[in-house]
Amino acid sequence: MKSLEERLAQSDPSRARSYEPTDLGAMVARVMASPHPRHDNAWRSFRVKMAGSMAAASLLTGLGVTALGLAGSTLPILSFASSPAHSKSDGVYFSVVAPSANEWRTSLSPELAGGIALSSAPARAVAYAMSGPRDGATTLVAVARAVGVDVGRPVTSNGGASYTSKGPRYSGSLARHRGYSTWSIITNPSVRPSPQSMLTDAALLQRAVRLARRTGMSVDAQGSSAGPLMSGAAAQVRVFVPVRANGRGTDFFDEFLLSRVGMLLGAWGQSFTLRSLGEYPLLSPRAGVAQIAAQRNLTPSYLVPATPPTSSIPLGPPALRSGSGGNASTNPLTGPILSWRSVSVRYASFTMVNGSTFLLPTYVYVGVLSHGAHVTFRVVPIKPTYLDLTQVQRPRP
Amino acid sequence: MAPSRERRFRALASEATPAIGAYLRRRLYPLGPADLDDLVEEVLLVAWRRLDDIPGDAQIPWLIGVARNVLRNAHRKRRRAMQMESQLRPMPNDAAAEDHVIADEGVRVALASLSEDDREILLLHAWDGRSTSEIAAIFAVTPNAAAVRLSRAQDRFKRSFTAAVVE
Repeated sequence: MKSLEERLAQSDPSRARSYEPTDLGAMVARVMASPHPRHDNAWRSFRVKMAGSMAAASLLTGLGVTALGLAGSTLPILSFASSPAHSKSDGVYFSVVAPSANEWRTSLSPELAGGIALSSAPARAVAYAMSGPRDGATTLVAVARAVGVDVGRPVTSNGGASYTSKGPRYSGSLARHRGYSTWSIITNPSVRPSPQSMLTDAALLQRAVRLARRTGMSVDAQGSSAGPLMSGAAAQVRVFVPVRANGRGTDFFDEFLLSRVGMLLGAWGQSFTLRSLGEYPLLSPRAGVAQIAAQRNLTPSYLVPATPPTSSIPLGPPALRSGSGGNASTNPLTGPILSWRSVSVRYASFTMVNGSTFLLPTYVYVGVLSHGAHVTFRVVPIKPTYLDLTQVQRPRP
Repeated sequence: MAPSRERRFRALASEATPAIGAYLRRRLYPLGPADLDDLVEEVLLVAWRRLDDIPGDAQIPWLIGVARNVLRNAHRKRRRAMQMESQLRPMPNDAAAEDHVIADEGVRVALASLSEDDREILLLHAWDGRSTSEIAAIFAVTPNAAAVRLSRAQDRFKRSFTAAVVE
């Protein structure tokens, strides 16, 4: 009998069918004959404008942590790893969210100007070492109890790298990652919600926040969101509950799938503990802007389109909700003006050279291009003297 | 134009085109096979214009990110055209392309129950063979976040598949 993974792989419609364009040579020739937008004035002025910040920025274009020590300081140097968890292409982690491919092209050369005044004051933020639970089985059982269900007794088949369990009504699983573990709890297929009075989205959201808190995480109740997945008798609501650290948002979030009557249908989350590495000095938000532009010349800018809204209540974790659906028609040869709308501190996890995982502060800049596209940039603003980036720096072309 | 730039682009096109074409073909519907070359060319056009930004060690993930944008725009245009062609009965636009090309009904039903992001992450891994680091590059998230999302998408797929089979 085929496994589910095999069935999924075998359902690939392109399996055993390689793609060859009709005439690759002609295609390449047509492409290379097209005008190159970087030759336009906006792009030239942009590069000149940002040239001054290149040297400092190059120090920020990598990620990792090795304890090299620094004279007069007890803060460890952050030596970002290039592999296997991070490739060299990670550079300083930042992203751009744009609504369409057209916007995506025009965001090549924005003028970084306008909008809110960014602070020039240096800041500080605590960085953390993350560690996952040592006993996966105990953790899975404890999480299940915390959310009020029984997942049975966990077993491992791969030396503790992951655990699975099956109780009378719910099944559980836990997988170890570097610095944290992820867990999931789902109803067994035979279980059906009993007919009771329907709950509102607000009530379901409160229930999910309570469940998340019981798992031991610091959560952001205000930032939580609920979105209906189906309607009618089979109605389900998915609730995202952001996880916080030191009072700030993180990239982690819990998810709860609840029936309309409040029954828990599924839960996904993570388990970790944080140990403070100390309070690191950060670049000011204004100085961070210069880093964004300079990094673009050294590292890839990964651009993703915004997900068009699928319902009146946005789905997806709060950190992913940016941009808007749209199909603006723009001229790729014009340099749009970018106005800053906000800058905030948010934590994200990064794997270091020595294999440890750290939760580090990042600046999240949100701006709007002159033609309406929302753009998000993200940088690790820790002062370059505390960063060792040799493992991830890309040679200049 | 620097010859080295042309050489690099030709090499990139030759190396990446099969993966990009395969990615697009899997998700082509409701576009037809005749559109495939045009989409690949549009991806290459972006690559040519942004050649200096493409990471040498993550070229294909970067280009898949471009292909996602190109395909999304093409789907949007196609659906608008279909609606104009059939004013009295607009064509449904909520079915994913995968729904039309998968023969295994259990897999199809389970995939259809997933969110767009879950489905994309799952299939990038299962069909396109992309690692979590590569998925991270495509989705502009950290590799750790990509691993978490893939794990959750796999969980939800299994749950939906099992439920579909039981029913």
